[in-house]
Amino acid sequence: MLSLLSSAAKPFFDLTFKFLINFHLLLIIIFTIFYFVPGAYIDDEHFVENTSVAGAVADKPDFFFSVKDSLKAFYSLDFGMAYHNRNSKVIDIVWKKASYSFRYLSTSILVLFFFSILISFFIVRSKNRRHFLLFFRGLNQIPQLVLIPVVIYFFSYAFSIVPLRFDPNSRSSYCFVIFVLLIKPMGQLIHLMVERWHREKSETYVQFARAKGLSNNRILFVHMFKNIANSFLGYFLTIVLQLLTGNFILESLYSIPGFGLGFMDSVSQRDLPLVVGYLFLFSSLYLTLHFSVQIVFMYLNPKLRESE
Amino acid sequence: MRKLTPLFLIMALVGFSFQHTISSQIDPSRIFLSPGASFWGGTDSLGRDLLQRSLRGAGLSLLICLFSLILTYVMGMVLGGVLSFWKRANHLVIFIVDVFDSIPNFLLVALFSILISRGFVATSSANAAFSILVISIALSAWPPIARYVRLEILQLKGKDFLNATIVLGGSPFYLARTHYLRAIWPWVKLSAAHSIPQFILIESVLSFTGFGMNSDYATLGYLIFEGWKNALIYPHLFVVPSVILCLIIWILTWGLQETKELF
Repeated sequence: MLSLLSSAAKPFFDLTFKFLINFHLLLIIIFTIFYFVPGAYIDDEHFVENTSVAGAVADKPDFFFSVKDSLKAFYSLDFGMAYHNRNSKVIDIVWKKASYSFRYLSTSILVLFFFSILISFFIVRSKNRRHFLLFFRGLNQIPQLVLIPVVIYFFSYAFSIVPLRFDPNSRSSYCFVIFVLLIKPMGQLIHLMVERWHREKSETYVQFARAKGLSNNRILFVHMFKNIANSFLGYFLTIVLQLLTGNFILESLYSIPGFGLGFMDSVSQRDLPLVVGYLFLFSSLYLTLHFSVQIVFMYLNPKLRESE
Repeated sequence: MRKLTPLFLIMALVGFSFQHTISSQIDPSRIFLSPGASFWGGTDSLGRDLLQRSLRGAGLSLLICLFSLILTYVMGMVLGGVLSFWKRANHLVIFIVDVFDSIPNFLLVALFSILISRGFVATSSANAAFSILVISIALSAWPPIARYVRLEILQLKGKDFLNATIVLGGSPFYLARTHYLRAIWPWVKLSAAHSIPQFILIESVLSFTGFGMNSDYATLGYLIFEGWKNALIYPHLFVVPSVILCLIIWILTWGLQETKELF
């Protein structure tokens, strides 16, 4: 019993350790940028100097000059102050914008994860898969930069099915945003998955399972899925990056006050601390996603556990 | 013919990008004209021919893409080669590649372009903006290439014919030129060709978000963004550059696709 528990828990702890190391290395990179790039880190006192309490903080040591303060800044994710929002800390702004975007991004990622597996499964089982694949191949040729504006144009401008601008109180707005975000990434993921299913079909173990008289569904889900899980993991993580890039385009076109629009604004205002803050957000988001997807697949496929 | 079409397209568009007169043909009497016999793509807010501007923008995008492709592969190959001879670099390389992979390419390019442009007095100069774009795209795209080159060289390292070359007095430069480079050259050619559409898309998204060149040297992303602002009243402003971008991506991928069909 104990050995079973330890074998189940070990990969989890291994991955957690790897995640923590990667997270710390990411923080080191961010703080190295602060240290070496002039103007990348703006401490509180730079702004307090203009007010009456300047004397009270004049003796405060600079960033990185005291080990204690540096460590405190490091672990409290203190990225300093933004240039253009003088009363706000970078981490507060970033977190506020991110929590806005996460409302629909989390749903989109979950839908992408489950539905791409399900739809690809149904396409592989379908007799008309050639037509489906042609459709997805055509869809994949259209860049997100063109697809997202076209969809917004038709749904909101031409047919007025959804509001012209994003309305946080409207459920249809949320559904529309998720739909627009997912069209291209889901098409790509399904296309890749269907091709992968087909390549796996010619393997000996599949033919053997078929010869034993097992049903197609059982072969696909019980035998083949475990083996293509590793490829799916790679595809999924690449596609999620595309989804994030699509989010920038969507937020800037549909006026959603999330982190995509926030990042664009910070770039146009040349607000370096805020840009670095957003970069930290995206990287940590991706690392967390990578970690959670790896854990899910590690328990699905024992082969991955052994390779770790 | 299928393989040559993308090449001809690239050459034609890059040649077209050197037509400096297009952006200066401002005529207030013909603003926002719809596509017709005289102007196939219509005109923009300053009366310039939109089709010509879009084609020139496509040429500029391709030019940026080609320069960044060359820089990326040179950096990737040199660094990958150097790292393969540095035994303690294993964890460092894996970490660097992991970190680079964990950030969307577009964001990395954005960060690099901000960091690089701080060194310039002003990025209004076309050459400076062009160089910043090329360098920042290359800086964000080199790690996977370095990783592949390093792995290939590590795989080749123990081979008998390489040991024989070393015993016979072959210099490291000779080894790199005749054995390592020849081994990775087919992959480099294929991978570089497949990266062209991807690089164009990165460049377009960058121009779309305001990192690209100024309006005189507008690339396709910038034209799409500008067109979107007036898309409700003048849809052709958005449609023409979008269609050209789609066509270019389609022709480039079509030319590179394998003819063998899966189904």
